[in-house]
Amino acid sequence: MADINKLQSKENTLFKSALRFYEIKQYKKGLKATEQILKKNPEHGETLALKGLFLCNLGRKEEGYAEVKHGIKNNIKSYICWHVYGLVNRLDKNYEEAIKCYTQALRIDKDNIQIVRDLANLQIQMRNYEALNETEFQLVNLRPNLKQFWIGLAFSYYLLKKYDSALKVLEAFESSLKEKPVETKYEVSEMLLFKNLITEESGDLEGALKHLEQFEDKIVDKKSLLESRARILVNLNRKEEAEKVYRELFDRNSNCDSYLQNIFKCNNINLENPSDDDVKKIIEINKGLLEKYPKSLILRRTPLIYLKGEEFNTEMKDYLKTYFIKCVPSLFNSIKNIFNDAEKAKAIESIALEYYDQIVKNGKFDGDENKQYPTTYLWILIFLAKLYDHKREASKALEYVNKAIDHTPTLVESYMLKARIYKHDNDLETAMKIMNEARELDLQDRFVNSKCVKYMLRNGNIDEAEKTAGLFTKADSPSPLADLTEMQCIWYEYEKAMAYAKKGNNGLALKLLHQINTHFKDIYDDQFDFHVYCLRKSSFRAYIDLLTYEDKIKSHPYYFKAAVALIRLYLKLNSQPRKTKEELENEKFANLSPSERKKAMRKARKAQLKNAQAQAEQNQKNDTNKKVDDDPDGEKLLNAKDYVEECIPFVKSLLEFAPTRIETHILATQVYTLKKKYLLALKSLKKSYALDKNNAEVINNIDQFVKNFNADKDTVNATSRKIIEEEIAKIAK
Amino acid sequence: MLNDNSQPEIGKPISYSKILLKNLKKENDNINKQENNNFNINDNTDKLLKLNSFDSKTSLKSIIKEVSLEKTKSNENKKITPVLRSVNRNNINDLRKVYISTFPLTYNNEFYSDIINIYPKGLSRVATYHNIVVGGICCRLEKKTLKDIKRELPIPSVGHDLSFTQQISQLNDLKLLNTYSCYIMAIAVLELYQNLSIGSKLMSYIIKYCENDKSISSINLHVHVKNEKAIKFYKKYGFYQKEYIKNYYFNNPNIIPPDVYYFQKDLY
Repeated sequence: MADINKLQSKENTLFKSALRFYEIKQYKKGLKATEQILKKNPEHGETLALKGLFLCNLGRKEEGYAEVKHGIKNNIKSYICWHVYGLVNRLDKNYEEAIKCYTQALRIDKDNIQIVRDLANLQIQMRNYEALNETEFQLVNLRPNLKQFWIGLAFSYYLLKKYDSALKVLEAFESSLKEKPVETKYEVSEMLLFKNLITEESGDLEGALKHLEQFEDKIVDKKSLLESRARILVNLNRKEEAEKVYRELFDRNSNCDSYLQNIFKCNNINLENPSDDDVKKIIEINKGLLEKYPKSLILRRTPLIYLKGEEFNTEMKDYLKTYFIKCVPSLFNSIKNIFNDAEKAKAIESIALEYYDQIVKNGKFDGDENKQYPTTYLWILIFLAKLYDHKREASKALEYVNKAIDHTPTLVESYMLKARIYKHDNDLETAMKIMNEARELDLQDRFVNSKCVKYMLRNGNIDEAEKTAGLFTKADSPSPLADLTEMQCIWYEYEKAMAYAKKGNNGLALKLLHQINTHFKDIYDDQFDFHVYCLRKSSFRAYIDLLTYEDKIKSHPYYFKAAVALIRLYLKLNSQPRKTKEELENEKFANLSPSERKKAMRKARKAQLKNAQAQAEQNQKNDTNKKVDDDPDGEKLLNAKDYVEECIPFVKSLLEFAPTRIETHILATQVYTLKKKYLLALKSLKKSYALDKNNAEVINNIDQFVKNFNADKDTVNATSRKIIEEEIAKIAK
Repeated sequence: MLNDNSQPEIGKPISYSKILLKNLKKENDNINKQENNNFNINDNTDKLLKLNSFDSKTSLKSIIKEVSLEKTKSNENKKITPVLRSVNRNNINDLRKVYISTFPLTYNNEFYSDIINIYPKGLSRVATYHNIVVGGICCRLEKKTLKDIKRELPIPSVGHDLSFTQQISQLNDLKLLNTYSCYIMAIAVLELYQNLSIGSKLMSYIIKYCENDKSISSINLHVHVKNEKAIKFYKKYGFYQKEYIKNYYFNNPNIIPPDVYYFQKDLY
């Protein structure tokens, strides 16, 4: 039998040219080349695999996968086939599968650099540091003179927290170089800072400090230099020197909160619970700094946070007066956190009212010669309105806002504030109308437009909201929603999902919430390209920050919101009896009489047929690269077999990334109780109880748990049963 | 230390730096933005550069002196000046709000859409004060008819021609036939922002525009007989009463009496 996997010389050259086409990304030409080869050798494994690769890159994924698998079947021992299979998986972001394929390929051909490199990237993506270490070692052995591989190896040691090895590797490499490599100033500086970071993290703070001093003039990033030095000095408890450095940093940026806080800390001030002495020190330091940097905003705010009583009043008066005259719209927001203190809140209110009275009577502040501009009065009104809105006193807030609107009917902010007051008062219809009025005053402002869209969605006007959002989206995208999804506009998807859920359209709500989850997944997957790029561009510290950030991406508040909403929706669907398709359809037409019902059903059927036809036509026209929405109504999600099962990955993420929020534990208890995982449910139950004993949902959960547990007592094994019964006795009184 | 901003600087005698600033404003409207307290740009260096580019005669010393004078002034309350912007569909609703709150009559939607679509853009402006729209002016051009320019054209008595001077003045009158008059449809400033020279800024803009356009020979407007504030304002700019029109507001019962003056300002 002729070897199906051997090619003649002509076909060989064609094969090589096909490989070249892949590298320069000319997929169509490559496809043609492979088809030519296949005419003569229809079962050549490697060509089949390559053809599959081209098909996948051109968007014909199913065909591509089929071809690749066919190719592998024919030629299991070819590393090219496995490599191609790995590439195809990587395109689809199936990183686990891709790693398997690459390891297979490596078993066959141990020294193929390309494969090893790709494998290293995948391992970082999957955070598999041990395996990464071995791979990097391999790379270094293959090409000991390529700097990149050595850096990669050092990096893998750093990720494994073996700092000494990392430093040794870097030093070994640099000493082994016969000639100095051509490096830019930036690369040298970044390498030094990276080494410094490793030294610092390994605990050798003195060494790190000396290292910084030694190479100070080679480090270009002065800010990081100063910050590292300050940080190390603080950790070494050399607070006076640290304070000097922080003052230097503050000179660079006199509005940076963290520098100021650190200056205070270096003076042994307890910022959480400042004693009276501490407060005096704070004010002194603050005064000194304010003389040097009179334009700094945080220096003006700091005394307000720490002072109390009469001193606070005088400071507050000055602060408010200055910024009333300056007509700053964000004045209230800048002191919002001071309002947590009830006494201070009262003081602020009385001061503001005093100024208001002064202007109303005389048109100027007491003690001034000249009258104020009319805008000063306007912004005092807005400040008072925001103040009462914060206290949720709607009628008073409306009083001031309406005065502001009468004063200057063209100020957009006053209408936005009025709409917000109505929203807090739960009158969503009026809020929407007024926000729309605000939007029409300035059609160029996308912020007002977005607020208007949000209020429309809250009120349930989904179509109108989409049209309004469409005023700012790309004109050539198929729909405003498509453009916003592409831009990963999470707030819009969330609000829309909530609007759908309220209306009862659960399928679409589920779809949108899952879409949010996909965004987070995409953000995590996007880091793949950076593994090669950052090491090549020597931006090590930024790369480390990126990795740490991506690890925690799901702690983002949007994810929390979406996951909580999703789990709640699934639990609600679980508790309702499932509706069959006929029942759903009957619901749609429930309000019509029988003849009208027939008409409506006929119409719906016609519309469906039309849609299907249009879809078929479009599919023919469309480039197959475009994503086809295969679940436009969320039907597939609604038809999932076990709603509670779908919740579990989200519950796990929440427990990992938001363990301090009570909603996490409440929902986890419910899900695990339904799933009969009583130990896990108990854990969350205890945590939620500890966070808030009187929460209605927690109490509910306890009852539910006890009920379910008692029903299933016999199925749980003995030791767990004992533990659970003990713990429950403590809680359920 | 914290009380520096308490004294607003209105009414202080104009200093040299202020005159220089006024000149700069005429050349370049954008500098007004920097006057705005809401922007934290380092306007001193910018002003230095701009001063350098405009007036090379003044020595470097005097420029530095001006900038330092300005710096001390910037620590005190800056004078807020109005900025004129063109009217487009994004701010037409602001203008509508201004007119609704200041006029006893309302204009219909066509009025506003015509301003955006039909009438020349240079003839309409909104005035913003501290970035809030507080006033506006809209005008349109009307071709002059014989009735407008008709004065006592003396009837030549039988046998005699018109005197030379009479013929010249007749020719001059007829020349005006090919010109336009700029008709001010509406000019208003929100009540609480009046007396801050915003109205005069709008008016002087239109007068300058018309003076530069030689095909416009006069500016006209209607003003209600009882609107003393407005009448005084227009007279300040050289308007005179051309006609008294009775029952102009015949279909608006709120306006008593429904009569208006027809004011005109000749440009040449």
